[in-house]
Amino acid sequence: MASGDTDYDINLFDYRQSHAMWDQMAEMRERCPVARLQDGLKYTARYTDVQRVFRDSQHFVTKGGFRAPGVEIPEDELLMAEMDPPGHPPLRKALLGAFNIAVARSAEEFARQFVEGRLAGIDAAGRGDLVAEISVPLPIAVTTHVLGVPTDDIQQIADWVFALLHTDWPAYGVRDHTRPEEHQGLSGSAPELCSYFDAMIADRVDNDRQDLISEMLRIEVDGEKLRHQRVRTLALNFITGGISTTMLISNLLHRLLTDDSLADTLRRQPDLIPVAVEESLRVEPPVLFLCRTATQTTEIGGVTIEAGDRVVAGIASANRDETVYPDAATFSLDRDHPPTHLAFGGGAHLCLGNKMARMEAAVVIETVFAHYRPGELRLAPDFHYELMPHFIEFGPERLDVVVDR
Amino acid sequence: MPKLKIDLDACIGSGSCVYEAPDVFTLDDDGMPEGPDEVAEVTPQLQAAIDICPTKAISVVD
Repeated sequence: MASGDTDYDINLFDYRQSHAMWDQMAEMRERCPVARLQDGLKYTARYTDVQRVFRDSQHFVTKGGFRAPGVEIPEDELLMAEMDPPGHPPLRKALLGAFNIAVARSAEEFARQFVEGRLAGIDAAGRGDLVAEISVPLPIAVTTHVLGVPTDDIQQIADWVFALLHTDWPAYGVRDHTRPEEHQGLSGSAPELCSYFDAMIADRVDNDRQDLISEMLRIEVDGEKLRHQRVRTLALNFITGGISTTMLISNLLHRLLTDDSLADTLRRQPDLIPVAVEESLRVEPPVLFLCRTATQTTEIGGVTIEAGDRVVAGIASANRDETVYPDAATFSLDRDHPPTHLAFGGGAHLCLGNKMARMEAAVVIETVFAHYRPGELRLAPDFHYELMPHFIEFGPERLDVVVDR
Repeated sequence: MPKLKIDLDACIGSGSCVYEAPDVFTLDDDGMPEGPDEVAEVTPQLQAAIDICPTKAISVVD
Protein backbone atom coordinates (compact mmCIF):
# COMPACT_ATOMS: atom_id res chain seq x y z
CA MET A 1 0.00 0.00 0.00
CA ALA A 2 1.04 3.57 -0.63
CA SER A 3 0.56 6.36 1.86
CA GLY A 4 -0.84 9.89 1.59
CA ASP A 5 -3.46 10.66 -1.07
CA THR A 6 -3.75 7.12 -2.43
CA ASP A 7 -4.23 3.70 -0.88
CA TYR A 8 -2.77 2.13 -4.03
CA ASP A 9 -0.54 4.02 -6.44
CA ILE A 10 -2.35 2.64 -9.50
CA ASN A 11 -3.17 4.51 -12.73
CA LEU A 12 -6.25 2.73 -14.09
CA PHE A 13 -5.87 4.40 -17.49
CA ASP A 14 -2.54 2.65 -18.10
CA TYR A 15 -3.25 -0.86 -19.42
CA ARG A 16 0.01 -2.21 -18.00
CA GLN A 17 -1.40 -1.42 -14.56
CA SER A 18 -5.12 -2.07 -15.05
CA HIS A 19 -4.37 -5.53 -16.52
CA ALA A 20 -2.06 -6.55 -13.68
CA MET A 21 -3.82 -5.70 -10.43
CA TRP A 22 -5.44 -9.05 -9.56
CA ASP A 23 -3.40 -9.43 -6.35
CA GLN A 24 -4.18 -5.88 -5.27
CA MET A 25 -7.90 -6.48 -5.93
CA ALA A 26 -7.87 -9.47 -3.60
CA GLU A 27 -6.15 -7.37 -0.94
CA MET A 28 -8.68 -4.55 -1.41
CA ARG A 29 -11.63 -6.92 -1.02
CA GLU A 30 -10.08 -8.10 2.21
CA ARG A 31 -8.85 -4.88 3.78
CA CYS A 32 -9.63 -1.77 1.71
CA PRO A 33 -12.99 -2.21 -0.06
CA VAL A 34 -13.07 1.38 -1.34
CA ALA A 35 -9.51 2.12 -2.43
CA ARG A 36 -8.22 5.55 -3.39
CA LEU A 37 -6.24 5.28 -6.64
CA GLN A 38 -4.48 7.89 -8.78
CA ASP A 39 -6.51 10.84 -10.12
CA GLY A 40 -8.79 10.77 -7.05
CA LEU A 41 -10.64 7.68 -8.28
CA LYS A 42 -12.33 5.57 -5.61
CA TYR A 43 -12.28 1.89 -6.62
CA THR A 44 -14.99 -0.38 -5.21
CA ALA A 45 -13.69 -3.94 -4.94
CA ARG A 46 -16.44 -6.02 -3.32
CA TYR A 47 -19.33 -7.61 -5.22
CA THR A 48 -22.11 -6.04 -3.14
CA ASP A 49 -20.59 -2.55 -3.37
CA VAL A 50 -20.01 -2.73 -7.12
CA GLN A 51 -23.57 -3.94 -7.62
CA ARG A 52 -24.81 -1.01 -5.51
CA VAL A 53 -22.82 1.55 -7.58
CA PHE A 54 -24.41 0.19 -10.77
CA ARG A 55 -27.95 0.15 -9.47
CA ASP A 56 -28.15 3.18 -7.20
CA SER A 57 -28.88 5.79 -9.88
CA GLN A 58 -29.98 8.25 -7.22
CA HIS A 59 -26.42 8.62 -5.88
CA PHE A 60 -24.37 7.65 -8.93
CA VAL A 61 -24.68 9.03 -12.47
CA THR A 62 -22.77 8.25 -15.66
CA LYS A 63 -22.31 11.83 -16.93
CA GLY A 64 -18.79 12.45 -18.18
CA GLY A 65 -18.17 8.72 -17.75
CA PHE A 66 -15.07 8.02 -19.82
CA ARG A 67 -14.45 11.37 -21.53
CA ALA A 68 -11.45 13.51 -20.71
CA PRO A 69 -12.19 16.16 -18.02
CA GLY A 70 -14.07 19.21 -19.28
CA VAL A 71 -15.09 17.71 -22.64
CA GLU A 72 -18.65 18.65 -23.65
CA ILE A 73 -20.46 16.39 -26.13
CA PRO A 74 -23.54 17.61 -28.07
CA GLU A 75 -26.76 16.01 -26.79
CA ASP A 76 -27.41 13.97 -29.95
CA GLU A 77 -23.87 12.59 -29.98
CA LEU A 78 -23.94 11.23 -26.43
CA LEU A 79 -23.56 7.47 -26.19
CA MET A 80 -26.14 5.52 -24.19
CA ALA A 81 -23.54 4.79 -21.51
CA GLU A 82 -23.06 8.52 -20.77
CA MET A 83 -26.73 9.53 -20.64
CA ASP A 84 -28.70 10.04 -17.43
CA PRO A 85 -32.35 10.71 -16.56
CA PRO A 86 -34.57 12.23 -17.76
CA GLY A 87 -33.35 11.51 -21.31
CA HIS A 88 -31.98 8.02 -20.83
CA PRO A 89 -34.85 5.85 -19.49
CA PRO A 90 -37.44 6.51 -22.23
CA LEU A 91 -34.82 6.15 -24.97
CA ARG A 92 -33.57 2.87 -23.48
CA LYS A 93 -37.15 1.69 -23.17
CA ALA A 94 -37.82 2.37 -26.84
CA LEU A 95 -34.60 0.67 -27.92
CA LEU A 96 -35.33 -2.47 -25.91
CA GLY A 97 -38.26 -3.08 -28.22
CA ALA A 98 -36.33 -2.10 -31.32
CA PHE A 99 -33.65 -4.68 -30.50
CA ASN A 100 -36.13 -7.47 -31.08
CA ILE A 101 -35.65 -6.67 -34.74
CA ALA A 102 -32.35 -8.54 -34.40
CA VAL A 103 -34.31 -11.76 -34.10
CA ALA A 104 -36.30 -10.90 -37.18
CA ARG A 105 -33.08 -10.32 -39.07
CA SER A 106 -31.94 -13.88 -38.34
CA ALA A 107 -28.81 -12.62 -36.60
CA GLU A 108 -27.92 -16.06 -35.30
CA GLU A 109 -28.01 -17.75 -38.68
CA PHE A 110 -26.08 -14.82 -40.18
CA ALA A 111 -23.42 -15.16 -37.45
CA ARG A 112 -23.09 -18.91 -38.05
CA GLN A 113 -22.55 -18.45 -41.78
CA PHE A 114 -20.07 -15.65 -41.17
CA VAL A 115 -17.97 -17.84 -38.84
CA GLU A 116 -18.17 -20.78 -41.30
CA GLY A 117 -16.84 -18.52 -44.04
CA ARG A 118 -13.93 -17.35 -41.92
CA LEU A 119 -13.01 -20.89 -40.88
CA ALA A 120 -12.98 -21.94 -44.53
CA GLY A 121 -10.46 -19.15 -45.15
CA ILE A 122 -8.26 -20.36 -42.28
CA ASP A 123 -8.43 -23.93 -43.66
CA ALA A 124 -7.31 -22.75 -47.08
CA ALA A 125 -4.28 -20.99 -45.60
CA GLY A 126 -3.61 -23.76 -43.08
CA ARG A 127 -3.20 -21.12 -40.39
CA GLY A 128 -4.58 -17.81 -39.21
CA ASP A 129 -5.23 -15.43 -36.33
CA LEU A 130 -8.64 -16.11 -34.78
CA VAL A 131 -8.77 -12.62 -33.25
CA ALA A 132 -8.33 -10.88 -36.60
CA GLU A 133 -10.41 -13.42 -38.55
CA ILE A 134 -13.35 -13.94 -36.16
CA SER A 135 -13.38 -12.07 -32.82
CA VAL A 136 -12.92 -8.59 -34.28
CA PRO A 137 -15.09 -8.76 -37.42
CA LEU A 138 -17.97 -10.96 -36.18
CA PRO A 139 -19.61 -8.48 -33.75
CA ILE A 140 -19.25 -5.64 -36.28
CA ALA A 141 -20.71 -7.84 -39.04
CA VAL A 142 -23.69 -8.98 -36.96
CA THR A 143 -24.52 -5.49 -35.71
CA THR A 144 -24.23 -3.85 -39.12
CA HIS A 145 -26.32 -6.65 -40.61
CA VAL A 146 -29.03 -6.03 -38.01
CA LEU A 147 -28.85 -2.29 -38.73
CA GLY A 148 -29.49 -3.08 -42.39
CA VAL A 149 -26.06 -2.61 -44.01
CA PRO A 150 -25.68 -4.78 -47.14
CA THR A 151 -23.17 -7.62 -46.65
CA ASP A 152 -20.82 -6.22 -49.32
CA ASP A 153 -20.40 -2.94 -47.38
CA ILE A 154 -19.64 -4.49 -43.98
CA GLN A 155 -15.85 -4.58 -44.38
CA GLN A 156 -15.78 -0.92 -45.38
CA ILE A 157 -17.84 0.02 -42.31
CA ALA A 158 -15.53 -2.05 -40.10
CA ASP A 159 -12.47 -0.21 -41.49
CA TRP A 160 -14.05 3.19 -40.86
CA VAL A 161 -15.09 2.25 -37.33
CA PHE A 162 -11.58 0.98 -36.62
CA ALA A 163 -10.13 4.29 -37.85
CA LEU A 164 -12.59 6.26 -35.68
CA LEU A 165 -11.53 4.34 -32.58
CA HIS A 166 -7.94 5.38 -33.27
CA THR A 167 -8.80 9.08 -33.32
CA ASP A 168 -9.20 11.26 -30.21
CA TRP A 169 -12.99 11.18 -30.62
CA PRO A 170 -13.72 8.54 -27.93
CA ALA A 171 -12.01 10.61 -25.21
CA TYR A 172 -12.28 14.17 -26.55
CA GLY A 173 -15.16 14.33 -29.05
CA VAL A 174 -12.82 15.72 -31.77
CA ARG A 175 -10.51 13.97 -34.23
CA ASP A 176 -7.29 15.56 -32.91
CA HIS A 177 -7.42 17.13 -29.47
CA THR A 178 -4.28 19.18 -30.14
CA ARG A 179 -6.28 20.94 -32.88
CA PRO A 180 -9.73 21.14 -31.26
CA GLU A 181 -11.11 23.73 -33.74
CA GLU A 182 -10.84 21.28 -36.66
CA HIS A 183 -12.79 18.05 -37.32
CA GLN A 184 -15.25 18.46 -34.48
CA GLY A 185 -17.75 15.88 -33.30
CA LEU A 186 -18.61 12.60 -34.90
CA SER A 187 -19.04 13.95 -38.42
CA GLY A 188 -15.66 15.72 -38.24
CA SER A 189 -13.92 12.68 -36.81
CA ALA A 190 -15.42 10.09 -39.15
CA PRO A 191 -16.84 11.93 -42.21
CA GLU A 192 -17.21 8.92 -44.55
CA LEU A 193 -18.83 6.78 -41.88
CA CYS A 194 -21.31 9.54 -41.01
CA SER A 195 -22.11 10.20 -44.68
CA TYR A 196 -22.78 6.50 -45.18
CA PHE A 197 -25.26 6.31 -42.31
CA ASP A 198 -26.81 9.70 -43.18
CA ALA A 199 -27.54 8.37 -46.68
CA MET A 200 -28.90 5.12 -45.25
CA ILE A 201 -31.16 7.01 -42.84
CA ALA A 202 -32.42 9.28 -45.64
CA ASP A 203 -33.17 6.19 -47.73
CA ARG A 204 -35.11 4.51 -44.89
CA VAL A 205 -37.25 7.63 -44.41
CA ASP A 206 -38.67 6.91 -47.88
CA ASN A 207 -38.28 3.12 -47.95
CA ASP A 208 -39.21 1.36 -44.73
CA ARG A 209 -37.23 -1.88 -44.39
CA GLN A 210 -37.20 -4.64 -41.82
CA ASP A 211 -34.01 -3.37 -40.19
CA LEU A 212 -32.90 -1.58 -37.05
CA ILE A 213 -32.37 1.79 -38.79
CA SER A 214 -36.00 1.73 -40.00
CA GLU A 215 -37.12 0.66 -36.54
CA MET A 216 -35.25 3.51 -34.85
CA LEU A 217 -36.86 6.00 -37.24
CA ARG A 218 -40.27 4.63 -36.26
CA ILE A 219 -39.96 4.79 -32.48
CA GLU A 220 -41.21 7.75 -30.51
CA VAL A 221 -39.88 9.01 -27.20
CA ASP A 222 -42.31 11.25 -25.32
CA GLY A 223 -44.33 11.66 -28.51
CA GLU A 224 -41.38 12.73 -30.65
CA LYS A 225 -39.46 10.82 -33.29
CA LEU A 226 -35.71 10.48 -32.80
CA ARG A 227 -33.64 13.10 -34.61
CA HIS A 228 -31.59 11.68 -37.50
CA GLN A 229 -28.34 12.71 -35.82
CA ARG A 230 -29.39 10.67 -32.78
CA VAL A 231 -30.17 7.62 -34.94
CA ARG A 232 -26.71 7.91 -36.53
CA THR A 233 -25.02 8.13 -33.11
CA LEU A 234 -26.96 5.09 -31.89
CA ALA A 235 -25.97 3.08 -34.96
CA LEU A 236 -22.30 3.78 -34.22
CA ASN A 237 -22.89 3.21 -30.51
CA PHE A 238 -24.14 -0.31 -31.20
CA ILE A 239 -21.24 -1.09 -33.54
CA THR A 240 -18.55 0.14 -31.14
CA GLY A 241 -20.31 -1.60 -28.23
CA GLY A 242 -19.48 -4.87 -29.95
CA ILE A 243 -15.79 -4.46 -29.14
CA SER A 244 -16.39 -6.05 -25.76
CA THR A 245 -17.94 -9.05 -27.52
CA THR A 246 -14.65 -9.34 -29.41
CA MET A 247 -12.91 -9.80 -26.06
CA LEU A 248 -15.46 -12.36 -24.86
CA ILE A 249 -15.05 -14.47 -28.00
CA SER A 250 -11.24 -14.29 -27.83
CA ASN A 251 -11.14 -15.20 -24.13
CA LEU A 252 -13.37 -18.21 -24.71
CA LEU A 253 -11.45 -19.42 -27.77
CA HIS A 254 -8.16 -19.10 -25.90
CA ARG A 255 -9.52 -21.15 -23.03
CA LEU A 256 -10.82 -23.88 -25.36
CA LEU A 257 -7.48 -24.03 -27.20
CA THR A 258 -5.56 -24.43 -23.94
CA ASP A 259 -7.92 -26.70 -21.96
CA ASP A 260 -8.62 -29.99 -23.78
CA SER A 261 -10.75 -31.41 -20.99
CA LEU A 262 -13.04 -28.36 -21.06
CA ALA A 263 -13.33 -28.65 -24.85
CA ASP A 264 -14.15 -32.38 -24.53
CA THR A 265 -16.83 -31.71 -21.92
CA LEU A 266 -18.50 -29.03 -24.05
CA ARG A 267 -18.40 -31.21 -27.16
CA ARG A 268 -20.10 -34.02 -25.25
CA GLN A 269 -22.57 -31.72 -23.45
CA PRO A 270 -23.32 -28.76 -25.72
CA ASP A 271 -26.05 -27.62 -23.33
CA LEU A 272 -23.17 -26.49 -21.07
CA ILE A 273 -21.91 -24.00 -23.68
CA PRO A 274 -24.03 -21.14 -22.25
CA VAL A 275 -22.65 -21.99 -18.79
CA ALA A 276 -19.11 -21.72 -20.19
CA VAL A 277 -19.98 -18.33 -21.72
CA GLU A 278 -21.17 -17.02 -18.34
CA GLU A 279 -18.14 -18.39 -16.54
CA SER A 280 -15.81 -16.74 -19.06
CA LEU A 281 -17.64 -13.43 -18.53
CA ARG A 282 -17.17 -13.85 -14.79
CA VAL A 283 -13.50 -14.89 -14.62
CA GLU A 284 -12.27 -12.74 -17.52
CA PRO A 285 -14.76 -9.88 -17.92
CA PRO A 286 -14.23 -8.08 -21.25
CA VAL A 287 -14.74 -4.72 -19.50
CA LEU A 288 -12.63 -4.57 -16.34
CA PHE A 289 -14.31 -1.56 -14.72
CA LEU A 290 -16.66 1.37 -15.36
CA CYS A 291 -16.83 4.86 -13.81
CA ARG A 292 -19.66 6.75 -12.15
CA THR A 293 -19.88 10.15 -10.46
CA ALA A 294 -21.48 10.64 -7.04
CA THR A 295 -24.31 13.21 -7.03
CA GLN A 296 -24.44 13.65 -3.26
CA THR A 297 -22.61 12.57 -0.15
CA THR A 298 -23.14 8.92 0.63
CA GLU A 299 -21.34 5.94 2.09
CA ILE A 300 -20.07 2.67 0.62
CA GLY A 301 -18.66 -0.13 2.73
CA GLY A 302 -18.13 2.24 5.65
CA VAL A 303 -16.27 4.82 3.54
CA THR A 304 -17.66 8.30 2.92
CA ILE A 305 -18.15 9.27 -0.72
CA GLU A 306 -18.40 13.03 -1.35
CA ALA A 307 -20.59 14.62 -3.99
CA GLY A 308 -18.55 14.86 -7.19
CA ASP A 309 -16.27 11.93 -6.36
CA ARG A 310 -15.51 9.64 -9.30
CA VAL A 311 -16.30 6.12 -8.20
CA VAL A 312 -15.05 3.06 -10.09
CA ALA A 313 -17.22 -0.04 -10.26
CA GLY A 314 -14.56 -2.74 -10.10
CA ILE A 315 -16.19 -5.41 -12.26
CA ALA A 316 -13.12 -7.65 -12.45
CA SER A 317 -12.70 -7.61 -8.67
CA ALA A 318 -16.41 -8.14 -7.92
CA ASN A 319 -16.51 -11.15 -10.24
CA ARG A 320 -13.73 -12.80 -8.22
CA ASP A 321 -15.14 -12.01 -4.78
CA GLU A 322 -14.55 -15.20 -2.78
CA THR A 323 -17.48 -14.45 -0.47
CA VAL A 324 -19.77 -14.77 -3.50
CA TYR A 325 -17.87 -17.29 -5.68
CA PRO A 326 -15.84 -19.90 -3.75
CA ASP A 327 -12.50 -20.61 -5.45
CA ALA A 328 -13.29 -17.52 -7.51
CA ALA A 329 -10.22 -17.47 -9.77
CA THR A 330 -11.02 -20.97 -11.07
CA PHE A 331 -13.06 -21.44 -14.25
CA SER A 332 -15.70 -24.03 -13.33
CA LEU A 333 -18.81 -25.39 -15.03
CA ASP A 334 -19.96 -26.89 -11.73
CA ARG A 335 -21.06 -23.80 -9.83
CA ASP A 336 -24.52 -24.27 -8.35
CA HIS A 337 -26.71 -21.28 -9.32
CA PRO A 338 -23.96 -18.68 -8.92
CA PRO A 339 -25.14 -15.07 -8.47
CA THR A 340 -25.13 -13.17 -11.76
CA HIS A 341 -21.68 -11.83 -12.61
CA LEU A 342 -21.35 -8.09 -13.22
CA ALA A 343 -19.62 -8.27 -16.63
CA PHE A 344 -22.60 -6.54 -18.29
CA GLY A 345 -22.88 -3.92 -15.54
CA GLY A 346 -26.28 -3.61 -13.94
CA GLY A 347 -29.14 -1.28 -13.21
CA ALA A 348 -30.36 1.32 -15.68
CA HIS A 349 -27.35 0.81 -17.97
CA LEU A 350 -27.25 -3.00 -18.03
CA CYS A 351 -25.67 -3.78 -21.41
CA LEU A 352 -28.37 -3.53 -24.08
CA GLY A 353 -26.45 -5.94 -26.31
CA ASN A 354 -26.01 -8.69 -23.71
CA LYS A 355 -28.22 -11.17 -25.56
CA MET A 356 -26.41 -10.53 -28.84
CA ALA A 357 -23.03 -10.96 -27.15
CA ARG A 358 -24.04 -14.25 -25.55
CA MET A 359 -25.50 -15.50 -28.82
CA GLU A 360 -22.37 -14.64 -30.82
CA ALA A 361 -20.06 -16.32 -28.30
CA ALA A 362 -22.12 -19.52 -28.25
CA VAL A 363 -22.33 -19.60 -32.06
CA VAL A 364 -18.54 -19.33 -32.37
CA ILE A 365 -17.99 -22.32 -30.07
CA GLU A 366 -20.69 -24.41 -31.73
CA THR A 367 -19.40 -23.63 -35.21
CA VAL A 368 -15.77 -24.37 -34.35
CA PHE A 369 -16.83 -27.72 -32.82
CA ALA A 370 -18.91 -28.60 -35.89
CA HIS A 371 -16.10 -27.60 -38.25
CA TYR A 372 -13.10 -29.30 -36.59
CA ARG A 373 -12.58 -32.66 -34.92
CA PRO A 374 -10.81 -32.57 -31.54
CA GLY A 375 -7.19 -31.49 -31.94
CA GLU A 376 -7.47 -30.32 -35.56
CA LEU A 377 -7.33 -26.64 -34.64
CA ARG A 378 -4.37 -25.84 -32.39
CA LEU A 379 -2.46 -22.81 -31.17
CA ALA A 380 0.60 -22.21 -33.34
CA PRO A 381 3.85 -23.53 -31.79
CA ASP A 382 5.29 -20.01 -31.70
CA PHE A 383 2.13 -18.47 -30.20
CA HIS A 384 2.80 -16.04 -27.36
CA TYR A 385 -0.08 -14.78 -25.19
CA GLU A 386 -0.33 -11.00 -25.04
CA LEU A 387 -3.23 -8.79 -24.02
CA MET A 388 -4.63 -6.05 -26.23
CA PRO A 389 -3.08 -2.78 -25.07
CA HIS A 390 -6.35 -1.23 -23.90
CA PHE A 391 -6.85 0.00 -20.33
CA ILE A 392 -10.48 -1.02 -19.90
CA GLU A 393 -10.85 -4.06 -22.17
CA PHE A 394 -9.43 -7.50 -21.33
CA GLY A 395 -8.62 -10.05 -24.04
CA PRO A 396 -5.75 -11.44 -26.12
CA GLU A 397 -4.17 -9.39 -28.92
CA ARG A 398 -3.83 -12.42 -31.22
CA LEU A 399 -4.70 -16.12 -31.34
CA ASP A 400 -2.41 -17.68 -33.94
CA VAL A 401 -3.64 -21.14 -34.88
CA VAL A 402 -2.65 -23.92 -37.25
CA VAL A 403 -4.99 -26.44 -38.88
CA ASP A 404 -3.76 -30.02 -38.64
CA ARG A 405 -5.79 -32.48 -40.73
CA MET B 1 -53.11 -9.75 0.30
CA PRO B 2 -51.17 -6.75 -1.12
CA LYS B 3 -51.34 -6.43 -4.90
CA LEU B 4 -48.06 -6.24 -6.81
CA LYS B 5 -47.94 -3.91 -9.81
CA ILE B 6 -45.17 -3.79 -12.41
CA ASP B 7 -45.52 -0.85 -14.80
CA LEU B 8 -44.12 -2.42 -17.96
CA ASP B 9 -44.44 0.89 -19.83
CA ALA B 10 -41.98 2.42 -17.38
CA CYS B 11 -39.71 -0.63 -16.98
CA ILE B 12 -36.38 -0.36 -18.83
CA GLY B 13 -35.26 -3.92 -18.28
CA SER B 14 -32.42 -3.23 -15.82
CA GLY B 15 -33.06 -6.56 -14.10
CA SER B 16 -32.53 -4.89 -10.71
CA CYS B 17 -35.71 -6.33 -9.17
CA VAL B 18 -34.61 -9.85 -10.04
CA TYR B 19 -31.27 -9.32 -8.31
CA GLU B 20 -32.96 -7.94 -5.19
CA ALA B 21 -35.94 -10.27 -4.91
CA PRO B 22 -35.37 -13.42 -6.97
CA ASP B 23 -38.17 -15.16 -5.06
CA VAL B 24 -40.67 -12.63 -6.38
CA PHE B 25 -39.47 -11.65 -9.86
CA THR B 26 -38.26 -13.55 -12.90
CA LEU B 27 -37.29 -12.31 -16.36
CA ASP B 28 -39.12 -13.32 -19.50
CA ASP B 29 -37.37 -14.04 -22.81
CA ASP B 30 -37.29 -10.34 -23.69
CA GLY B 31 -35.57 -9.47 -20.41
CA MET B 32 -38.70 -7.94 -18.89
CA PRO B 33 -39.80 -8.80 -15.33
CA GLU B 34 -42.69 -11.02 -14.37
CA GLY B 35 -44.15 -11.41 -10.90
CA PRO B 36 -47.24 -12.64 -9.07
CA ASP B 37 -50.41 -10.53 -8.95
CA GLU B 38 -50.37 -10.66 -5.17
CA VAL B 39 -47.75 -11.10 -2.47
CA ALA B 40 -48.22 -12.42 1.08
CA GLU B 41 -46.12 -9.62 2.54
CA VAL B 42 -43.65 -6.92 1.57
CA THR B 43 -40.40 -8.60 2.51
CA PRO B 44 -37.20 -6.57 2.94
CA GLN B 45 -36.07 -8.02 -0.41
CA LEU B 46 -39.23 -6.85 -2.18
CA GLN B 47 -38.94 -3.42 -0.58
CA ALA B 48 -35.33 -3.22 -1.77
CA ALA B 49 -36.48 -4.08 -5.31
CA ILE B 50 -39.12 -1.34 -5.17
CA ASP B 51 -36.57 1.20 -3.90
CA ILE B 52 -33.76 0.33 -6.31
CA CYS B 53 -35.85 0.23 -9.53
CA PRO B 54 -34.34 3.00 -11.71
CA THR B 55 -37.74 4.06 -13.08
CA LYS B 56 -39.84 3.33 -9.97
CA ALA B 57 -41.91 0.88 -11.99
CA ILE B 58 -42.82 -1.42 -9.09
CA SER B 59 -45.49 -0.69 -6.51
CA VAL B 60 -47.54 -2.56 -3.93
CA VAL B 61 -51.10 -1.56 -3.04
CA ASP B 62 -53.10 -2.98 -0.15
